[in-house]
Formats: sequence, C-alpha cells, structure tokens
Amino acid sequence: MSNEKYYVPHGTYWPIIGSIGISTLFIGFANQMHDVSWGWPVMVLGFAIIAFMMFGWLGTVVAESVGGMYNSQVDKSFRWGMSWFIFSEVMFFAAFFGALLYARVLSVPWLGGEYNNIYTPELWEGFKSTWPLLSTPGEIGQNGTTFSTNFKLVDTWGLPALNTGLLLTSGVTLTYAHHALRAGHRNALMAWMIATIALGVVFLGFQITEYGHAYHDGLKLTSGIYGSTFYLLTGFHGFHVTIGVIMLTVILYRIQKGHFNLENHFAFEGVAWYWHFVDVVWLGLFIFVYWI
Amino acid sequence: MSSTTAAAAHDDHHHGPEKGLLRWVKTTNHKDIGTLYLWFSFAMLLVGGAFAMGIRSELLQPGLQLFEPQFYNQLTTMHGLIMVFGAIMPAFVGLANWLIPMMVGAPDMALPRMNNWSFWILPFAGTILLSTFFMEGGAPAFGWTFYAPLSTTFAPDSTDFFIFAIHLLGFSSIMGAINIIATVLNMRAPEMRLMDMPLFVWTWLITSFLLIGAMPVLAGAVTMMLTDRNFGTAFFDAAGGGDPVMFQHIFWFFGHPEVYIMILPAFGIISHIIPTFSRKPLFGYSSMVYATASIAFLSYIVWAHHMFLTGMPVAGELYFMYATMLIAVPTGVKVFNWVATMWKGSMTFETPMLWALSFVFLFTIGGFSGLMLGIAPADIQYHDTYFVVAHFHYVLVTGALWGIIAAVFYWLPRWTGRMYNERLAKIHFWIAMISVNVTFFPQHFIGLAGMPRRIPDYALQFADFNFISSIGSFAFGLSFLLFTYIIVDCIRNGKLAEARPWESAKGLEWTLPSPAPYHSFDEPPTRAEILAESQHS
Amino acid sequence: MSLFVIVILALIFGFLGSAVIGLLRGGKEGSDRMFKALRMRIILSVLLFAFLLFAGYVGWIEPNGFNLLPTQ
Repeated sequence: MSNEKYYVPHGTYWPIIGSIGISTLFIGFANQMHDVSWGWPVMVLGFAIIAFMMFGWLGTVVAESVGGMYNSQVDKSFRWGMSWFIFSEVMFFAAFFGALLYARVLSVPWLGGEYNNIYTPELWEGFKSTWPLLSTPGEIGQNGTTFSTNFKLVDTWGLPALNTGLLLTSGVTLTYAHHALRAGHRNALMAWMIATIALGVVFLGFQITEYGHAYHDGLKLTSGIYGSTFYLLTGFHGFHVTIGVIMLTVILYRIQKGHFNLENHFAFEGVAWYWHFVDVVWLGLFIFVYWI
Repeated sequence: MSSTTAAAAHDDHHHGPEKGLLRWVKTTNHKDIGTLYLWFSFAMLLVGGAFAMGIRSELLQPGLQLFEPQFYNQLTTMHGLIMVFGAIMPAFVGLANWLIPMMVGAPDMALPRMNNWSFWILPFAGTILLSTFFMEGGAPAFGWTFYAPLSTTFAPDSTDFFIFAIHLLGFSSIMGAINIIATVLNMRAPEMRLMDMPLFVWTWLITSFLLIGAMPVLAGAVTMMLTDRNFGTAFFDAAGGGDPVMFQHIFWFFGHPEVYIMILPAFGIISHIIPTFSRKPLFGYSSMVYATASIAFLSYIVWAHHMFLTGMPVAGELYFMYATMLIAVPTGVKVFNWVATMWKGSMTFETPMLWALSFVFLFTIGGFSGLMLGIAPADIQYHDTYFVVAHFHYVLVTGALWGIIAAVFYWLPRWTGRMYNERLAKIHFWIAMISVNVTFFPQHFIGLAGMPRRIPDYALQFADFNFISSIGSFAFGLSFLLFTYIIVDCIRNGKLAEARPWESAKGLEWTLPSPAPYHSFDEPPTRAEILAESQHS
Repeated sequence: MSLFVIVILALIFGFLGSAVIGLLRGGKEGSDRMFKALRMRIILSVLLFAFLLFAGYVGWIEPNGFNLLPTQ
C-alpha cells in the first residue's frame, strides 16, 4: 500500500459554494417564516446553489473514481465516512422517536394526573389522557396556536398498510438488484433498480395523498403532540425517501454508464444501505405511530 | 479541478501551498485548515470575551449600571453560545487537524474536501449568529441552553436565525468528527496499533463518537423548536399535550456529551505535556485510554442531573445522581495518573507545563464542585446560582481553555518553526492564572449564599465579591492582549526552533523537520520509529 | 405482544448494523456480509409486516387507527 499514494485533491471551490448555498437557503427560509416577501425566491436560489454544488462535487468525485485515482485506502475512507454519516442519521431520527415515546409514556399520562401530578387535572379541566391524543389539554397554545382537535385518525388498514407494503417490496426488489449486481447480471440489475425507484416514487405519491386525507380530516401540524410527532416523523422520513430516490436514480445512471463491477461498487452499497435504513425507519414508524 | 485530466496531470504531493487569499478558500491541506480553525476560534474567543467583559462591567456594582436587563440577557446568551460553539469546539478541531495526521504518520486527513467544508461552514454560521444582535427585538436572550418556553414563546424573531446557525454548526461538527474517525482508523501508519496511538489521538477519536451521537440530537431539538415557533406544533407546549421539560431532556441528552466533547481532547493534551516536562513516560497509558472511554460512555446516561429541579420522579433523581457519581471514578484515574507521572520525575517548568499543572489543579476543583452539584438533595440549594457558574467556568476555562492554551504553547514551535518568548509567556501565565481565580473563585461563595445566575442586578450583600470578581475578569480579559502579542511576536520574530524543541518530547509529530513541511508523512513511519515515539514505552 | 414486535424490530436493526460493518470492511468478505445481512433484514421485515396484519386482523393487537377505536 505504501507505494500507492493517497489521493489528496488540490484546492476545491465546492465547499465554499456549498456554504453559500446552505446559508442562502436558511436565510431565505427564516425570512419566509417572518413573512418577508423575498423569502421564497432566496430559498429557491439556495436550493439551486446546493443542487449545483452537489452535482459538481459528486461529479468530480465520480470522475476521479472512474479515472482510477482512488486506491483501496481512499475507498475505505469513503466507507468510514458513509457509515458514520448513517449513524448521525440514526441519532437524528432517534431524537424524534424519543419525543414520541416521551410524550406517550410520560408527559401525556402525567398531564392526565398520573404519578404525583394530582393537581394537573385542576389546571386542565376535563382533560383525559389517551393515546392517540384526540383532544389537547388546552384549546389555544402558548404561541397562540388554536389546536385542531377531534380530528379523525388515519385508517391503519388503508394507505399506511399499503405504503408499508410498497416500501417493503422496494426493499425486496433492491435486494434482488443487489444480488444481480453481485452475480453480474446487468439487465436484471437495471430492471430491479427501475422497479425499486418506481416503488419509491409511488410511495411518495401515496404519502402526499395520505397527508391530503389526514389534513382534510383535521389532523394537522397544529393537532397537539400527536399531530406534531406524526407529521415530523413521517415528514422527515418522506424527505429521506426523496433523497433516496434521487440517489438511486443517480446509481441507475451510473450502472447504465458501466461504472461498477463485481468487486468495486461501493456507491451502490452505500445507497442500498441508505434505502434499507429508510425502509426500517418506516417500519418503526408504522409500528409506533399506527400500531402500538 | 472540474475535469479529471487536470487533476490527474499533476502529482499528488511535493508541492507547496498556492499563493494569495484564495489558497485559504480552496485549501484541502490539513495544516492550512487547522490554522484557519485556530484563528477563527481565537477571533471568536475575543468576541465572546468582549461579551463577558460587558457582563462583568454590569455586575461590577449592584443596581442597573450599563445595560437594559434584556440586553444583559442577550450578552450572557451569546457569550455562552459563542464560547462553546465558536471558540472551544473549533479550537479543538483545529488542533486535531494540525496534529492528528502528524501523530498517526499520515499524509493528510482522510477526506480533505469535506475537511475544507467543515471549516468553511463556520464563518457563515458565526456571522448569522452574531447578526441577530442587529435584528428587531435583538439577539436571543434565553441563555445558551435555550430552554422552552423561553425560546419558543417568549423569544425574539431572531431566534429562527439562531436555530439555523446551530444547524450549520452541527453540520460542521459532524463532518469534522467523521473526518477524524476516518483519519485515525484508516490513515494511521500501517505499523501503528491502536494501543500505540498517542493519547491526544485516542481522546479525539472518542470525542468524535460523542459528537456524532450528540450533535444530531441537538439538530432534532432545534428543529422541534423551529416548528413549535412557526408551524404550530406542540412538542414543548403542555396545552397541546407536549412538555417543556421534554425540551430539557432532549437538550441535555446532547448537552452532557457536549461538555465531555469540550474536555476530553484537553485530557489528551495534558497527557502529552506532563510526561514531556517530567521526563518520564506517561503513567498508566492503557488505563488512560479505558478511563476516557468510560467517561464517554457514562456521559450518555447522566443527562438529567442538570434537571434535578424539574420535578422528576424520585427514582429518576436517584439514578441520575448515582450515575453521575460514577464519572468521578475514571476522572480520578486520570488525575491520579498525571500526578503519578510527575512523581519522582525530573521536572522543569516551561510555559506549557505551567498551564498543564494548573489545569490539573484547577480542573480538579471544577470536578469537585461538579460532584457537589451532582448530589440531588444538595442541588436544590445550588441550582441556578453562581455556584453553577463558578463550577462550569472552572471546568471550561481552567479546563478546556487551559488545555488549548497549553497545546498552543507546546506545539507552537512545531507549527511555526519558531520559539515564543518564554519570559513573556510566563508572565502571561501568571497574570491569567491569578486573575482567573480572582474572577471565578468568589463566585462559589456568592452562589452558595444564593445569588441567582443570569440576573443583571443583585442584593447588596453580594456587592464585595462581585466587585472582586469583576476586577479579576478585567485583568483576565486584558491578559489575552498579551497572549495575542506573544503569538504574533513568535510568528514574526521568534528564534528558529529545533525540530524537537522539548528535549524529552515524544511523538511522531516531532520527527518531521522544522517548520513542519506542507505535506506530512509521504512514507509511513516504520514500527521501530513508532515504538520509539510511543507514549507507553 | 407489542414486546414481541419490538424485539423483532430490534433484531432488524441489528442486521442493519451488521450490514454497516460489512460495508465498512469492504472487499469480497465485507460485501458478502453486507448482502446477507440486508437480505435477512428484508425477510424479517416482510414477515413482521405480515404478522402485524394477521395479528391486527384476528385481534391480538389493536392498531391506533380510528376504525377500531370506540366512537367518541
């Protein structure tokens, strides 16, 4: 290994472009929330800069990889990087699952007077602790939100079950694609990848439909802690599915270009793992939000 | 750079830095990025220090002197945020960037482009954070812990910018930590085993795990804050079934590992300096490694000792109290090992050693007051008083910051190839060492007597101690002007230093010529070289 | 019953973790480990999903959905 040099790139503009993009996005977003008229366009500009940066940066990396500038040690660095990035994602979702469990197991029962909170019912007259929490303790929140209560819950047997089926099927097709890649069956690999991407897109479509139904039935972000956890968990999950679909599409393009071989397909493995992770997060969501 | 052929055309190594300012924007070199980190954190230290001077000026005498209470709260908030996220953390990442590749015999960091990004997010985040002062309603004024509902219901509009600044700082820390893990585990010289690694590398490796575990949780917490503020969610609002105490749980699940993130690398630094100036190998190398790992593990399961007064179930208080006491064991192991390293050593007291010695002594004071605070029934008295302020300044200023300054003096000849002015540096040490104690030690007393923190006014009986404390803080603040002069003087006019300026310093970083070459190790060091420079032989 | 579901979910996470280790190791061996772990995790997931639907259908477990809750 010592006679192969570790590849250290010379100078790059992509990080500073990325910093400008992400700051633009956030400044636009913050102003949008404060009803400043130029908030939206600035946000879109920020997105565009980030997309440009991702495209350029990753394009450079792909070109270097295909150009044979990376030795096995560089490959390993990418593997370490991806693994710990994934761990940080796990911890991010853990914060929201933690909030869900804390509300269900501790704070909502406490609000209902359990444990040593015998005076809480005096504060919130007539409040009964249930899960899902269909009526909030107060009608108006501290920030002036009027809570949208007495919503109808989403039918577990409807779209959620269907969506779980879809996403799990996409996991199966991706596993077949993985197998095909390892066995060197290029056409099968392409077919399974296309199936996976299609299932992901259909999932996202149904998810939007489900939001429409839920919103129509009164389940909103403003529906108290149930609506908060429901939308943030499913929303961040949907965001990750979107990223996953984009990454799978890029991988499909690279397969078509012939970038991978039997030994060297780290990018595929990384993205495949990411998709499986998103899949398992959904399973956890399905279980904790819709079932138990 | 955009085309592969151009990148492939030039050789990977053997050429120096580019010319001009763009060098610093484009750089992928670990030493350049380390330098950027260190200067950025120093600038932030001065900004945060200026805020502290404002705070102490207000507290010089009882009654409202200079500022409106609201502005005072903005100062305390921004002082904490800038010091934690702008000064201490980036300074340690800067040290890691400079030192880790040299210490493990690597050519550079594992992911050089990402390394550049993890620095270049910081100036943007810092600008956004500081710009909140100029917004309508002023800067965030709820303390660096930004508890709900202070930060959700009662906060100015600029809080949303603060939230995004925290997101950016989190991205930076996570990328920096990933890079350090990849560097330590993948770029290490093939002949270097894990248990041959210097302790600074070990402590940073473990710190990286803490960062990757804790920072995403902080991102989750501020995201919930954002939606509570702007989109009507009820995470931290009891009226909607949420719970403001839940904010504290999530925050401190991040916050407690965070305080170890700020001290573990300092432990590593001290474990380099004390053996060098005691002219003995480090006592108990492997127990140091295991103690660091135990502290890191325990840091994840003690968070609620910051929340003893929130009305937790008693069983919870007991658990968190006992778990907290456990941390004293590995920390005690470390202090014991440092003292045992010095035992019968042939000690000399150059500036880095002075800082390291006072670190051991003063950090231990901070550790003990931490134990006092960790006792749940006693904490009812101490909670939210100046005793807490004294405690965490003893661990963060005379702990984390002392470690950083010790490292700067210890490795300055390595970085610049020049020696600092020893006489001036010693004078600076004594001014800082005395004034920091004058500043913070009396705060123990006023805290025990019941003076609450984060209040711009106080009862008359606290006047004398506050006066002393403020005078001390002005001296401490001024001492950093001397520090700046010493550093600049060293870089410009310092005497040329030898490659190994400390006679018994060990470590691969000293085997490189002086000043350190632009690219570190082209060829990995051999087993014999590694063993000769290891800390435990 | 919910404990059983949680245990299986934890197991699925375990396989996911094992796959990361495979990803990390790289090479033929790591690649094999990753593929097998991911295959195990998808098989378990599908079985768990089927079990949930079945258990919900025969009433071992009650979903949080509105259709099975008593009317308000």
